[in-house]
Amino acid sequence: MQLTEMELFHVEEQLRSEALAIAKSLAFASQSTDPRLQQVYSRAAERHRTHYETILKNVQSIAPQGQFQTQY
Amino acid sequence: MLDERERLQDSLVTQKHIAHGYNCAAGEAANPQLMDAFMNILRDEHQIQYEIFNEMRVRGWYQPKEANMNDIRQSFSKWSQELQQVHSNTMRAGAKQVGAQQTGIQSPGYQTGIPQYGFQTGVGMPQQPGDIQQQNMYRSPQNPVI
Repeated sequence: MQLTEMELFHVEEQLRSEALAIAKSLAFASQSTDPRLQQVYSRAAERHRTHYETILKNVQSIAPQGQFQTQY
Repeated sequence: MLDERERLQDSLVTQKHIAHGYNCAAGEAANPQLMDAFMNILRDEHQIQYEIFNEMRVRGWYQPKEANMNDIRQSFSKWSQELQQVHSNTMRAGAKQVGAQQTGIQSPGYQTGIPQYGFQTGVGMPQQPGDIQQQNMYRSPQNPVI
């Protein structure tokens, strides 16, 4: 099975948004002085990272990319 | 640098944007596995959004105005009646259809005594669905069912 062009478009769009959301949540977590909000932001960053990985994994399983490897 | 309130507002806007993206993505996914993934993430994005919304609300930075109790009552009764009307209209339309089918089956020819072709001559026009079935089932002696 392959991805449609439309699916690839949405995959890229969402990966871009998630990447930005991770960066912003991390920045907000360090900027905030409220410990409760710091927690909210770092939890959000973690969840956005999970979403990012989930999308990548799905692409990999639908249209396998042999040489692909995640690095963090 | 943004202040605390601006950061929360920015996060809320970001969440709305991301959730909208997943909604579109789920609607246009052809692969069931991908669609499922988009829907699951969509749900989680809404949960993040709700958390942020809640943080704003407890700080008094997001206070949705409560609807007027009378407006709610009026709206509820209006839309309850609307549903009943849609329902009864549907029932009427259904009854009409059934009625038409019944008159079709009981062809007026039988009731008014107009002679029916078919059984006597053997070559008549099919009058009822049942007749068509009988004709289809009929096989001439030249082509017997083995």
